Amino acid sequence: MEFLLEISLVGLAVGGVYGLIGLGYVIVYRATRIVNFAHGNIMMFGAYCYFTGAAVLDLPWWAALPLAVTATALLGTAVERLLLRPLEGRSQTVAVMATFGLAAVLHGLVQLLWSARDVFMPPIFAQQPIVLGAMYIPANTGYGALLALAAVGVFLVLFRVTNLGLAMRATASDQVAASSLGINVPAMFNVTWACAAATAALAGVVVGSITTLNPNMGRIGLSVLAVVILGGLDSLAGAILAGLIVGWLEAVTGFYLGASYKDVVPFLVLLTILMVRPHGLLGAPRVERL
Amino acid sequence: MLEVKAIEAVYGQGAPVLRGLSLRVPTGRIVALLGANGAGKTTTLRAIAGLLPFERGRLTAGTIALDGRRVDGVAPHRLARRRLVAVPEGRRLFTDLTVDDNLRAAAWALKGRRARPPGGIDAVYQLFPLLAARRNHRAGYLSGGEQQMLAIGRALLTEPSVMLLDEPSLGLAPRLREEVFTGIARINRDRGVSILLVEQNAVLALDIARYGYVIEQGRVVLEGRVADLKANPDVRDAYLGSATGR
Repeated sequence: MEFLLEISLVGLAVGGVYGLIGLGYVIVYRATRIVNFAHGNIMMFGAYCYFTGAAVLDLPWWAALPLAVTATALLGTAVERLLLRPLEGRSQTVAVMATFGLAAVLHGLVQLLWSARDVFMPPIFAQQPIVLGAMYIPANTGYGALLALAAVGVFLVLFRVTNLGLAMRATASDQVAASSLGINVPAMFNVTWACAAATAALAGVVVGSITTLNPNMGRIGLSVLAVVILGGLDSLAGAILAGLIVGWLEAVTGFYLGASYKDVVPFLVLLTILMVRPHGLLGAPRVERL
Repeated sequence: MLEVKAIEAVYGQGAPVLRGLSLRVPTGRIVALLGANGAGKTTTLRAIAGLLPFERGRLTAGTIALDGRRVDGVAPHRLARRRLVAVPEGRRLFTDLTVDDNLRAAAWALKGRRARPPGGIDAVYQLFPLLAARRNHRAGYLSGGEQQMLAIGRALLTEPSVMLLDEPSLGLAPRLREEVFTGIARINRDRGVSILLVEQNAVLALDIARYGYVIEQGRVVLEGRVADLKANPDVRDAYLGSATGR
């Protein structure tokens, strides 16, 4: 029983990180109806920015982290302004394909700038495992999850409470109406991409701390995309809920059935749920063709 | 004064929907735009409000001027800053936001441009008391009439000098229809807002308008003072039916 609890906590911690990654997909999708296939690689870019600050420039974590988040947010605004805005008026599929291209470019760019080797990220968190009674939670996973959940919380509050968040929600709800009422819709898209990239950078730092850093790290983005679809592509709460479910399932099946089941069982469950609820756990029913 | 001169508009690669349409909305007046389904009423409104690009449409000829300055090709959010606002077809509320948040979003969008609109959100609740009781409900759960009131109230918060309304009576019960139209007349009377009213329901529209245009196949076929239009046999047959019968 203790074991199950410990495994569950580790799984939920990983799930919290999935939630943070998923958040980035959802806010972009809600605002622009674009599924951003470059999200995983934007996350990786953020992780490498942190690595550069902390390991190459030897900055303390409290300087390297904001630097990485800012740099990645700037990448997000550049992507919206230079890649997607010129495609406005074209079909959504074109924009989605552009994000595929962006993913490939980022993958190559990171190899050019930082090499394709695995590197260790300087530890951002205290390295003693977290001890709760008889349970041990690995430090990077535990603190990483706390950071991820804090980031999700802060973002949700900003989204709910601030006027900018209100304008972003209005834009996501109806672009024509928002525009008619004086909201600068392209500027809102820009802010949305910046926010999504900023959360991706944080997630990248957390994932990079748990594993190591290499240019293939972005692949986790694709697994999380599946998780987000489980939650409902347009539901923030759904992304977090689904992240926690899949993280927990991975940990529990990995422990009781063996590591090779860890990748299979959660996605079988996901498929099954999607057959019953095609729009995800909390998503709004809506047809999307890609 | 809103002045539309000889505009032509198309969607995608299709045939022109507007073919040299001209009209004027003098300052402080209510002008009705009448016509059958497919005559181009909604397209006219979209063209003026800068909303054609959202429907893959565009202007191919003509000019639109607001108080003497060209506004064709200007993005909708900039038009709102120039005090021209549209309540587009289908109301287009932020359905998953509350009534209050719908109004706050509109009030925020233009903040910093000038002082707050007189009375702000409370003035909208005074104009449409039904909304006040629903302020914390999601807009998507309102009745049709309440939705129309919210759409108009939201537009009012941008403090417009010209308001374009597309079919405000559509799908409303008679009592609510009357309340909405009373509200529109008050907005015009109390705040001096010029209004271009696109309506299928000619009886209602001619009740509050001063001047009217009738369009067919993308151009104006008849225009005149409301009294003259009401007396015109063609208009009576086609748009007023027996409702105005002697």
